[in-house]
Amino acid sequence: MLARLKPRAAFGLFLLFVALFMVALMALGIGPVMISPGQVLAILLEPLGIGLPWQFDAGQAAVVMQIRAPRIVMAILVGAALAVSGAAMQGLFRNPLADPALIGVSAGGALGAVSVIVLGAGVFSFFDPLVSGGAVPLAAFTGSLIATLVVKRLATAEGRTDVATLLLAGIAIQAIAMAGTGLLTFLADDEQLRTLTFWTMGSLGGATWQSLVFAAPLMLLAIVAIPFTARALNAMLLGEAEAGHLGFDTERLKLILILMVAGAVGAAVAVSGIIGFVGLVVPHLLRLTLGPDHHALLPGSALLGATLLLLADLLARTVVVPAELPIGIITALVGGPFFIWLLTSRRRGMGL
Amino acid sequence: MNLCGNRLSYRIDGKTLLDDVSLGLAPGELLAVLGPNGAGKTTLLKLLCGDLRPTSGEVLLNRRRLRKWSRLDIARQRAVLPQQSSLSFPFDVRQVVDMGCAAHRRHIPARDAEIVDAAMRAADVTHLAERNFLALSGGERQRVHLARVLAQIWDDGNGNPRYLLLDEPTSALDLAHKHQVLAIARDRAKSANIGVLAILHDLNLASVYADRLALIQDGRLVACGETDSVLDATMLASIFGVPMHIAPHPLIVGRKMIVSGSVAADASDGKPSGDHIKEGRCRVMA
Repeated sequence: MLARLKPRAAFGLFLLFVALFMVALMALGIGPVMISPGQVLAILLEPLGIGLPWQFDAGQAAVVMQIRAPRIVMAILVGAALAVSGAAMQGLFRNPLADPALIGVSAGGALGAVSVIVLGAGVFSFFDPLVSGGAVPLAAFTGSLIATLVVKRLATAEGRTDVATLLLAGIAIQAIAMAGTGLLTFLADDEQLRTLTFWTMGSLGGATWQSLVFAAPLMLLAIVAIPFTARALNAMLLGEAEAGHLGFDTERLKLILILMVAGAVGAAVAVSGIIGFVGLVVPHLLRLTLGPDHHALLPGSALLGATLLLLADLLARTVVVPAELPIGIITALVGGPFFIWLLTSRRRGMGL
Repeated sequence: MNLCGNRLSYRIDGKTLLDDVSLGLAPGELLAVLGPNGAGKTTLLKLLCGDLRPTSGEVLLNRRRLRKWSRLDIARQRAVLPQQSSLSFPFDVRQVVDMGCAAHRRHIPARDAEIVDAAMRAADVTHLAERNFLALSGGERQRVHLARVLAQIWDDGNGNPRYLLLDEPTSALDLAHKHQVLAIARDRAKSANIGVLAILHDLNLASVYADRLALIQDGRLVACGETDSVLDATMLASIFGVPMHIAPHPLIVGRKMIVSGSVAADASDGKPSGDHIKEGRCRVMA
């Protein structure tokens, strides 16, 4: 897979990897308790039996390993999953403005989560308390998956999924799910409103090792597996019939990608709420620098998505200490104007 | 061994687009398919390459039903160049041509690179290798896609004969490029023993480059055979609805030249007008 990279793209990926590593070290150290990058490295390597010259105390180790590490891992996984899913959808739809949200995955997730938040006390009270703690993420994930499967089903006739219909069905399901979310918001009381507002604006504040156990495998699967579809996605850019002529099973490709994206974005929405713009802007930005080849674009999106979401989360938890800003506000506030700049300054020759 | 359609019919929504057409494409030959718009040429090509399933009849690829081959095996034996490709992402030319190598799963990038180089040389796009595909002219883009489909069937498909299906490969090109693309296709047919089927609109190009012609009208195969034997003025006139005049080609022995349009009527008032007349003259000059 990597053997097909141009030297320039390979160097780009290497830089992105280094950047992610540095930002992660920095993010582990920054917070109410400041810890230097050297100390962070020493804390991380100590369980492996590798001693480093930087001294640290048990309190600092606990902050890094128990409080910050799960959140940093979550930011990396969510950012990478959203960006790689966005890149895959843009390739599948042959449209650089596509986004995982297009296949209904985010709106379905939101409806699932808001249902539990608002109706939770009444409808879901018979559940075991253990389950009810995870009920919001579980419902978000289920909602994502159902919405995506309905969209896929609507766009499939005689065993063939039509990409244009898929997009339109996605818009329709999104509208219906948002109407449902709106209705539930209307019914919600003040406390529920506050919870669901925070949820729809996204936050990584709830990250713990326990919450990762459920979400990480689905996100990891997409991050690792989607880059292996690079050659097929390149061919899809020629058109679906041509990808078929080149020997690719386009129906299977669509099914695999849609399921992996639904799983990964559903899991991301479940644990962190709705975080916009990462899936849209990151692949776009990379296409400008590394080119459209998915061999570089897919792993690059994962790396850059992770790095940017780490930075956004760092801002979210440091700018209004001791409170926290919802991360979705930051990604939209930075991503929106940046995207407009991209559109206006690079319109020529980018195939928009 | 050939690529062969047996009694192919295709009906959709009560309309018959193709009616009982049998046609074989042999390795090493260039077969031109001609006919008016809507005659069913593209439908025939889509049936032969498997994009459409025939309502009745069957397609045999090297003696085996098309559906019995795996997707990858089909892609290693036949390539398809559509009328226009929708690629709107800024790939390098070399990357576009490399897409043709996908079905072989060689996992040897060096071998793929050799084939890409050879295909780019054959299609005369080597000098464009590092250029952005979107910055190319229409003629250059078409040659890049031609290089891509040549790369796809550059190696013989596990020893089986290979086929190249071209859907109006020259329709968007200027005269020089029309000739260039067909010359490349014919060279490749002869040098690598590839069967080439090309849907063409230009009778003179077909007359110069094709070994055999198939004429299609209203979904039926009207005539099929050696180029010279099929080029009959009366039959062409009835198929295309324009008077036809056939003369020996001034430069190529054994080939014919076709002038279309009512030349006599215009000659009488001395003022040639009408697009088909101008087209006819261009062809004479070509």
